[in-house]
Amino acid sequence: MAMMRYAEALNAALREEMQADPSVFLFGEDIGRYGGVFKVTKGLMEEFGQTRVRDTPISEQALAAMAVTAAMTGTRPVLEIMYADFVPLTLDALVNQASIYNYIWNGQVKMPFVLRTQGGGGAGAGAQHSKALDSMLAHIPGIKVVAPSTPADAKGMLKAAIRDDQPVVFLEHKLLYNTRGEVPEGDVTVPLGKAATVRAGSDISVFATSKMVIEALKAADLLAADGVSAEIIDLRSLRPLDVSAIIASISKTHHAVAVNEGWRFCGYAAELSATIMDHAFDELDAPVARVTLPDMPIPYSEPLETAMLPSAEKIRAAALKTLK
Amino acid sequence: MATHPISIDSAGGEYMEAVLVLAWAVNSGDPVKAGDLVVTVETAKAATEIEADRDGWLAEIFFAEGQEAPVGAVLGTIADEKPVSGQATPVAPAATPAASHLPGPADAPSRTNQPGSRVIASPLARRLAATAGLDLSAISGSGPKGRIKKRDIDATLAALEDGHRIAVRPGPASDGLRAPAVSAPARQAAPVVLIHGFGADRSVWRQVVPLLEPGIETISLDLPGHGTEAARPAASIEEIAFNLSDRLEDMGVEDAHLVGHSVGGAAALALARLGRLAVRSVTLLAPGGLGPEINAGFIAGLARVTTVRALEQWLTVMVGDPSALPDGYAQAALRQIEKTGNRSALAAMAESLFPDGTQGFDLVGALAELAVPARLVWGRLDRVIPVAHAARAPGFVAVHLLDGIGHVPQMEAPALTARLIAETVRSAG
Repeated sequence: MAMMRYAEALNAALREEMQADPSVFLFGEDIGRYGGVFKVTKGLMEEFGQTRVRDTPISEQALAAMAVTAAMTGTRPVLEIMYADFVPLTLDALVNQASIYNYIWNGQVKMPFVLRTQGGGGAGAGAQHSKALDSMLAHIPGIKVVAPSTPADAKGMLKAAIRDDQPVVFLEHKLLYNTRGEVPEGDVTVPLGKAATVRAGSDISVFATSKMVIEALKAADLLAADGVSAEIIDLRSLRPLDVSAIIASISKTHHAVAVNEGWRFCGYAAELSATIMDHAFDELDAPVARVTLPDMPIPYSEPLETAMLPSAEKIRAAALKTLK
Repeated sequence: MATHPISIDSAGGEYMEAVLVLAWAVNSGDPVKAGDLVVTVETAKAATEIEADRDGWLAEIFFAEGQEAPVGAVLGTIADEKPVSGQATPVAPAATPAASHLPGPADAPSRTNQPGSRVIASPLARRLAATAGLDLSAISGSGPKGRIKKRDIDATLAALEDGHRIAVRPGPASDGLRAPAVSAPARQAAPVVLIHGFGADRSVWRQVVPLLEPGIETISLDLPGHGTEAARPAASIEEIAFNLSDRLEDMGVEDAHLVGHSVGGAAALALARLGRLAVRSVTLLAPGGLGPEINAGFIAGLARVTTVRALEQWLTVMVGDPSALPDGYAQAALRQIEKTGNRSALAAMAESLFPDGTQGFDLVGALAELAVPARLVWGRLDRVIPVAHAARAPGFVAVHLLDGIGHVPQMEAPALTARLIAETVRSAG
């Protein structure tokens, strides 16, 4: 085990996969000479050269089409989109190409690319640089969407994503890059589609991904002081979703809070709520609570932004209300 | 004060589900001697007298005269000491039906649900109440807007338990056949839970159970939509697992060895995957869930038959050697289907479990995740689920392929099946 920052864990995953497989290459805006705005690709251009680590112009639509064609022709590209807010520019490649080519060509086409991006608020980055758009991406069948919360999962899941033959959208969070954690040494992958129980509890289940797992863990501490035992499930992967883990936890606690940093309407928390009702309706002792961003743009003002974002305190309040 | 159960295990015909309590020969509180007549019950064939198995005093009566009791139910108890009125275990008056101990409107502490108005209860509370045979309109809810939650059901049941110890709760969900019948807290070892296949019922195990070693306690459950559970079909393997899990929980079973045949095998795996029961070992006989193929014609035929002749035809598909079936088996099985009237439930279940003639569930993953001894037993002549599915078992599963045997090893080779079940149970330590 080594203590690492989340960004360093991602950097290690990219380096190891590039060393192991010459078909892996990186491209994106400012990822080469500058090392990426969050320093995830630091030092990789020096080590692997300008052919395998490419700086590109600002043109997300072209970059995504490039990822699709490069993946189709036998390489394993890893594309970085600097902010998730600009992922909508890549949607044609995702919705009309990457997600369906395997289907319309009857399995003859593989699509092994990774689209790395980061989203989320809390950094005062304003309405165009703070969004979590994971619900929109998880809506597309044929694409995997993952959002690890720890450095260990960040490394293990990025390695698994690069080796996956399906397109994977890899969601990072700007406030997680500097978080530290133990990361296993060596070639350790974490399977996509498996949730992790990060804190066991008996009264209520809280389902979250990415930075919301950190908030949920803080909420569990607050709830413990209230005499409530909260179980925190880090879904890790939004699609495919680990439904068995959800059912197992609900069958134990009979109460659930679905947390997602994105908007509420048609959002991922709504999908979790519906999934729970589909599979474990008769286990529910109260309606599933949702903790999400309100359906509004994210303000630049720090107090307003803080008031809007899902937080430990909001998760605690939702849990207590559910248990009434 | 130690009490001992008075029960009726297997009197009457092979397909009996319940007995009628005709007359108690002694009143509660009266002394009895070993060999004394205690209670007379009516079985399918005749009145049967049940004698006291020890000296003592008749303590509790759970099924009053005129009531039906499931086979295996505890009818009453004999105490070692003379019961004193006001003691922790009060004596039920003989003439009071057990059902009257369930809360009626008059018992409710505060009525929030007016007669005729819609009861507001959580899905879990509804399910628990249905399982326990409680009337929701008599329970006041403590949740928001008076919603009845699990804690309210728990409190009601606890109040009932305080007032009257119920060994076998009467109500819509009858417990499975249990041999020997013991009250839940007295359980020593994990029982073997036997789960039958589609279109059968728990009596399918009656040849195997007596061949198991003494000391192995068995519980044979009827699947939802089958046998005594005919009125409550299930639409998915998960729903079946939830149902079985609830019933086992009600019986106080926390850990068990699972044995499942065909769809019952799939149910056993789903039950293990559910994680609520501590599973000690798993023995699967020609189980579902290990591949998409299933003989759709057989399933449809079994769900639709109305004549002995037709059923006999289908049963020959079921076994490797039709002469292995006991005489009159088809007739008895058909009588059972007619008696419980579960034909439409069966057809509906077949439709939802096997859409388009395909097994609508995949439990290879659940099998692979097992961390306990597991054994797979399959007849090489199986014409219902292909024996080739056995190849999907992971390496730690012991696989037994039986020559000359079809889809139902427990009937075609009961001794070998019993031996393999016992060996699995023993290997779990």
